[in-house]
Amino acid sequence: MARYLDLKISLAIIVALIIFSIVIPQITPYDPRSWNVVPRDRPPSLRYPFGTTSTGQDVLVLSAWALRNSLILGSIAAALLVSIAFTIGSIAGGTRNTVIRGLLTYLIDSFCVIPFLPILIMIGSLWRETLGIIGTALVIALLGWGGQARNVRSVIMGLRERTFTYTAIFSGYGTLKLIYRSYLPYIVRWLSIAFLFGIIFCIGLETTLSVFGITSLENPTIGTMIFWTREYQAYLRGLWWWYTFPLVLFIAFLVAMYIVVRRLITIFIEGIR
Amino acid sequence: MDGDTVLYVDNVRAGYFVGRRFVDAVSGVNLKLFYGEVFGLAGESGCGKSTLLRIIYGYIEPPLRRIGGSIILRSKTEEFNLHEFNMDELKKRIWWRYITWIPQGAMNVLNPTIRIRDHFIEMFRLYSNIDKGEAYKLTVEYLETLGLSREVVDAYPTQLSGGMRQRVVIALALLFNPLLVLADEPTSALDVVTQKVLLEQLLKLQKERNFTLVLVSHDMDVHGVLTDRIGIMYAGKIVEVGSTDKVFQEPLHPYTKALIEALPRLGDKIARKGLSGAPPDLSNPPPGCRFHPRCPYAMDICRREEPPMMEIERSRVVSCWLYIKR
Amino acid sequence: MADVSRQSRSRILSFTAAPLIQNLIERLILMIFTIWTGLSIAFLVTRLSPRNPAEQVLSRLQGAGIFMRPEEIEAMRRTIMGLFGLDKPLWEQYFTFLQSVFSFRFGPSLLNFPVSANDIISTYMPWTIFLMLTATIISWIIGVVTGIVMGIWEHRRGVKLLEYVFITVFPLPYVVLAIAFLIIFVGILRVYIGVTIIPKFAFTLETLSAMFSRAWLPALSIIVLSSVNWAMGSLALARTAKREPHVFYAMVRGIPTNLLLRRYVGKNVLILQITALALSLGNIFGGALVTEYIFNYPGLGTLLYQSIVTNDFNTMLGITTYSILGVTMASFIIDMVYPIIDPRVRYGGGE
Repeated sequence: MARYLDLKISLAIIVALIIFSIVIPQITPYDPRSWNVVPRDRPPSLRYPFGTTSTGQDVLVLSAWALRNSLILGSIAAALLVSIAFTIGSIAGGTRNTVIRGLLTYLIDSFCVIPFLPILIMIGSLWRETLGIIGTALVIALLGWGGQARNVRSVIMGLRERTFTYTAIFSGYGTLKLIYRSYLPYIVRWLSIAFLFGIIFCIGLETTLSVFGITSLENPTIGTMIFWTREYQAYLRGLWWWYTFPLVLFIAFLVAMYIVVRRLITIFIEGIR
Repeated sequence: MDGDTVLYVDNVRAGYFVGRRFVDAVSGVNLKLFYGEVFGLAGESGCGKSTLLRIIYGYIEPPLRRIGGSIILRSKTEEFNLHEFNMDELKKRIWWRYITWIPQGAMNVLNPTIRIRDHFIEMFRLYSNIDKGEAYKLTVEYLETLGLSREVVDAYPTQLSGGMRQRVVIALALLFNPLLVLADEPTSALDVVTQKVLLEQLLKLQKERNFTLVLVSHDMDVHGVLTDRIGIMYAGKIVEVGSTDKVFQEPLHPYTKALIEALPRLGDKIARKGLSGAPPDLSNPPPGCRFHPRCPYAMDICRREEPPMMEIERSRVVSCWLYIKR
Repeated sequence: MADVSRQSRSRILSFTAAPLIQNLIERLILMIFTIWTGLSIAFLVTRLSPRNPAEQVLSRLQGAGIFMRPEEIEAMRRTIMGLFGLDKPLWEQYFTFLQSVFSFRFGPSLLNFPVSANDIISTYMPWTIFLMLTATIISWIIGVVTGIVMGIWEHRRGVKLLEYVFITVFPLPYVVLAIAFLIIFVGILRVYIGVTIIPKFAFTLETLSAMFSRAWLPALSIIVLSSVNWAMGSLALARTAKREPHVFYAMVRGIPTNLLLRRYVGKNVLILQITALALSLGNIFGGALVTEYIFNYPGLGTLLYQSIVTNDFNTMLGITTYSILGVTMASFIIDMVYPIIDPRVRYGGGE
């Protein structure tokens, strides 16, 4: 089916990158956070296929670790974010209790309004030392769930309009039950798409934060790699391998994920029809 | 070709190409439509009536394709081989002037961001060179003759009820006095009372302007009330055609019999019978007569050969082995 | 007779005043609460820092080689704490802060002591607005037009190709694109980005050309990514609009394609995207942060970053306040104005 060619290629790329990010870290003998383990500033060669950095690290190894960390961070953050957003959003949209709905709407809107990048930067610069991969993921999820919650709320409200005309008898708890039981297939689909989108979004956010230099910079992620290339002015010094290889891998991963999400959406829509 | 015929449909075949399969939706249909008549097309959902209408109109987009047959339209002065026109030519010369199509779900076909009058002004300016003010006057006059008030003219579609919107769509369809109006389920989404009112108005307009109305409906009541002649379709084929009175009184084809017998009748105490089974998969239709799996009278030959169309009496045809003497 | 006509008129026109005003008041209250919550969270986060701004000023002074006796240091510390209101209990600081929001006077800036935060902000604000406003509007125009055109002619091969290019750009975080721009223009093409002194803002050609010379590169990076965003959004909307029954019916009636573009598909998409534009304009200060940091552009974004890392509360909160106000008011205005633009919402259902 040539129709799904882009989907197949994207999935292949994602799987390949995931394998890459698992295998290489398993076989590296040293801690990726340590510096000066290999000679510095070497261009790509047989020994170092992706070259080495000014901090004395192997770009190939670093890229694999970076991918791994970014993936872990993105997945945790996305899972948490979507869970929070979905819980709060669906209650806000589905409940008949005006007080709860009002309060939750107010909560969601407040979280949509706070400029979370400056606040993230603030938090990051304060707690940089204690904030590891997991910590960053937590903070991203806890601050950024607003937008998705708003989506969930309007979707659930739309669903409610349609079928609740004849089920007006249900109490608040019954409403929740009904949502989860009859809408489960749609919910599962929505959640999986939101989760995948969330990974793209959270990785992007972490990258942005790292470029500002406020995450734990010894932990290799794509973002911290970019940060260090700026610190050492790799662009002006001609160390193209340091930023090109990781960026290519990173872009390939994100674009492939995005294509997968788009295809999933069309598949789901056709499934519903 | 008699002088009364407005449309000849000759052995038209069309269907949908889905993946590697071909869904045979319109399978060798022959029809003749006369001036000023109301012709009903009846049958279950999925029997091909809507597709047939679409093919006659000529709005054919993939995966739909017409694979054979001819469609000839005759006005008093000209004759058009519609099957030879491509969609651009149809747009320029035929659509809305000679033939009009009211598709299914007509309530939703109005543009919600422009007012009712703008729909008509747009059509006027499309087909002639008049200015906006002139077009507006014409619109108001036209709609008043159809009984639609000034407020309707200036309103947005979302402000109107379903029935009102349907009337607007009908008004749009009759704007340039077409020869032939194809109406696909014009009243299905409405409540019974509005349906009745709308159909009565439609009939009144038809009698006044004397256009040929092809009415597609799965609701036999509608046919009984409105149509002069009726054609029954099953699984992509026409199985019976005749005057509505005769077909209702004395249905010939077993499928027609089942349709008529399913209708409740005053004073008749016999329990209504439905038909068992389901219409066939048109990507893989059964051999012979397509109705034989559900037919209580099926004979051996029905399973092997398709029955030809037989003229029983004047203007009464049926396609069934029961009526063919061998 | 009059009764009947009034009845029929109200059946058609469901746009009455009383529920509208109630709606307006509800939304106004919600907006105020949301602003208040946002500001309070921002305030709390600033006070979470263990670092004391007074110490920072003192260490800076000492680092500059000024020697002070212990009593003088203590006196200075108390003066600074007093100036910044840090010697007062937290809740009192909070109230002072809320007051300052109303008066738009945020107190002295730590970073640029003793200049007041307002002055600093008002110096840099025109630069940020110049960059972000023009970049946003240009991207919107390019993106929406492209998206609508692509949506209508979606089966041409060129369109499909272009769409794949967009798909490659869309999911990338802005930082990646911005850095790629830097690499290309500064690293490879060796384009010189001048260093400018920020004058007091005046609508002179000199100021404007100074702004332009610093702004064109970051603006370009924003335009590229943002246009793609707008195009993808408009494309999706146009595709959905095309499948709507009324567009189909317009084609059935023989309405030519270019008229279809304008009246049917284009108009619907435009209505939605105009409101989206207004919302993103409200978000201008948020986007500025990353752009200005990467491109070293003198504006509120850079100022915000510096104030964060130096713990300059007043400046930080000042900029954040503008940002929160911008976002909430923009969305409030849109909520109020949108029904006027879209007749579907204004006149509701007739059933």
